[in-house]
Amino acid sequence: MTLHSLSSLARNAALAAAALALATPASAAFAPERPECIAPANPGGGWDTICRTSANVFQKTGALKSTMYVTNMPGGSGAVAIANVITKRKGDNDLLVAASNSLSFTMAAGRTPHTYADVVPLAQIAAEYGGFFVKADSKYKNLGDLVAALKANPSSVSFAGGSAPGSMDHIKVALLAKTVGVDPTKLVYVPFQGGGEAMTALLGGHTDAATIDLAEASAQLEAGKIRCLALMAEKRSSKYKDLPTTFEQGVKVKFDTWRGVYMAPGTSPEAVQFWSDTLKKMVASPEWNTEREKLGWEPTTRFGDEFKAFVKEEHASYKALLKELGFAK
Amino acid sequence: MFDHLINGFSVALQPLNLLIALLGSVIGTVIGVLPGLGPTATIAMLLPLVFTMSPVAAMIMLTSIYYGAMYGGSTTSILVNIPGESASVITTIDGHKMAMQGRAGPALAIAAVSSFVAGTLAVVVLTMVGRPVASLALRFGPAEFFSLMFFGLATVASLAGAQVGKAIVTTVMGLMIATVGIDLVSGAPRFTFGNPFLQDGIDFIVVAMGVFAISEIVVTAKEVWEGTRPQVVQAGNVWLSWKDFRYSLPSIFRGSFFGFLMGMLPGAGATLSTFVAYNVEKRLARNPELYGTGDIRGVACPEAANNAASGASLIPLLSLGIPGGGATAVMLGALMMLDITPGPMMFDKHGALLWALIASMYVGNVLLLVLNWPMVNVFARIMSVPARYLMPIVLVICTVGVWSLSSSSVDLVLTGAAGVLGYYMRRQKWPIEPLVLGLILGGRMESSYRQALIISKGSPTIFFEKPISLVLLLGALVFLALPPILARMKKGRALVEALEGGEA
Repeated sequence: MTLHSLSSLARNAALAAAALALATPASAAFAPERPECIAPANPGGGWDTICRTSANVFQKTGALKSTMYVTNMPGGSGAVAIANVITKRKGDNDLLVAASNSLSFTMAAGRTPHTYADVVPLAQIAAEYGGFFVKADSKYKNLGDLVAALKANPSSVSFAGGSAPGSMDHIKVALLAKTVGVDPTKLVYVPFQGGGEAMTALLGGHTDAATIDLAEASAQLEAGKIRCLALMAEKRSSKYKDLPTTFEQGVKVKFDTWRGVYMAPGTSPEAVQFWSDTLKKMVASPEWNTEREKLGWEPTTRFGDEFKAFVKEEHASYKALLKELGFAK
Repeated sequence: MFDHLINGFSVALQPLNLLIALLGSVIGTVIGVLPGLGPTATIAMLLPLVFTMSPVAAMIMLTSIYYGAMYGGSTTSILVNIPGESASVITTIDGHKMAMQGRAGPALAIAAVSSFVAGTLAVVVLTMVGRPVASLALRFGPAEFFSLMFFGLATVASLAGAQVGKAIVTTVMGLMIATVGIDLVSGAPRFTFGNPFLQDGIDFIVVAMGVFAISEIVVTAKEVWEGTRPQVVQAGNVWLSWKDFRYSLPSIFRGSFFGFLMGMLPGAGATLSTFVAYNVEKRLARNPELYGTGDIRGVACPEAANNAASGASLIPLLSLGIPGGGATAVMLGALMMLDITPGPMMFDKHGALLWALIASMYVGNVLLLVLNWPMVNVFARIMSVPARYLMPIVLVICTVGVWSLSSSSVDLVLTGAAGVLGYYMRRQKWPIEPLVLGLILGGRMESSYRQALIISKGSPTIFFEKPISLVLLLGALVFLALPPILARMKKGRALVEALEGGEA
């Protein structure tokens, strides 16, 4: 083959490619070439589970042509990942990033300069209930007992939680206190490294109660080692139907741990539409719902503008709450 | 119980499960050998593969990787003075000295043998008393944890001999590095300089690769350059002699005991147990001065401890649903995805799986010994590779290991800085191990202390009112106070004898 024929071959190829590009209208179906999901934490946690379970379901249902890669990018409760996505992955249409209220707290406390306004909030795909748990032999039989003790003396009950003060588990008990008219700054909240350690402290009798997510408590609940005083929800859990809620005991406070994803800024509307549709299909699929059941997650979803409005409102309310508790300026 | 175990073996010995155990053991050994790469990241990477397997096969795979890594961890400690895992830091002290004396073979062999003995002992105890023993882990609340960590630090400081001052200073340096990051108890970032990468603190691997690996490479380069590199004595006997084995056996048993006891506790159990076991060994020995000069017991005892600990850490995971560390946390996540919730109901609801897993751990330990035994000879030859070829390879592996943590250039810069620190510490003969121990224990020690004080509403008496905590604190006191008292008594006696001798 001569040099000339090689170059003409290349020219033909280029022409063909250009023709193909012209023939494809801009509004045609977008399809990610190398789908990727960033879990802004180490493997094993909630964010990692969002990515891996979604990737798993996509594979089973054939929703994506290629396998979705999961990248772990731990650091600063999501602060590292969001900074990276904004500066280095702008306009990356193939990328999803896992998120939850934990990221909202990182933003509300000012531990990252970014907010949801800097990225494209895409969807909430599930929710997890949190609640108040005591040992099976505890003197607190129901939420009323706990509230009465807190009203008599806010410091008389020690709560173990799996996150730092001013974040998830602490806020749950602070919200309860606020709702029943107890000063949330007088609570005794003992932070542990994750829900597992908080559970250990409760089981060992080192604290009086624990405020953690339902999934973290389910094994001990089934074994009858601990009692659920209340889940922080309006409706009962779809998996654990016999656990009482706050609302049915007359305390109108709720707190969902939501599981969702956002996309990088500058992504095309077609890509956002594609991912939104794909996720809508995913949460409706039996494959997803089997996995979701296993994880003890609730089928609460939010998409598009509803999700955007939700995280915006959440940001404002967390900010106000953290200010009141002295964790944000 | 034996019926259950026999049923378990019938599952574990099925060809496919056997193959999976073998595969897991090989992967575990390899990542254990490579510094910086640990079982946590490996297990996480293999999760998608694991979900395609049956729950039994998946669990056999994950656990064999986990304890396989403990077998491999000692290899680089011995050969190039770089610990593969935090639980192999202590092994560098005597292990590398042995290698430099041409006894790399026996050092690697005793590491494999003690890992086997301890690993098997741990499974035996797990089989017999797993469930009742698990409740012991619950007795450890924040106060007890703080006292345990304090005890661990005290044993280290007390045995640094004449260097006690230097050991305390480097321990405190480690504790200081551990304060970087988001403070668990207040939620405030400390010493992060606005860098989100630092919010999660500085990983042990980042510092260890610097102070051990980078500094070792620089020291070696300097020695090669100046032509002062000590010649490695060529090995006489590559294999472990019966005499060496018998000499180390008591240390293996005692190391297993400490490893098992502390491995059950969540947190830094495995690493802490190697430090405590080594120092208790040294104290008990009739010839403590031999430790640190290439004594084979100094390899046997920490290696036994870390393997017993990795077996024991499965007890709280399986019977309480409480993960003790990174790797077991990922395993807990994997189990939940397989629709198995570890916890008190595990024996009743998933008994067959559990016994198959326990049986496969017996099998896995044998497999690992068989695998590692021929490798002793291969690895021992690495000592005769010229440093100018070996050290660049080590540098590459370490860099990849650090990068694999969170793909962050900040980590690499910190490793470099730790390397400079490590080089000067070596030159000035400051002990490095206490720095690493301080770093590993620091975060947990501080948060335990403050958690305890939140619970007691600020009263420090909580540390003395809890019996376990009190015993540990008294133990720490004995370790700290005994050496000077004993020294004085010895001096006094010598003086009395001298006086009496003079009068006679």
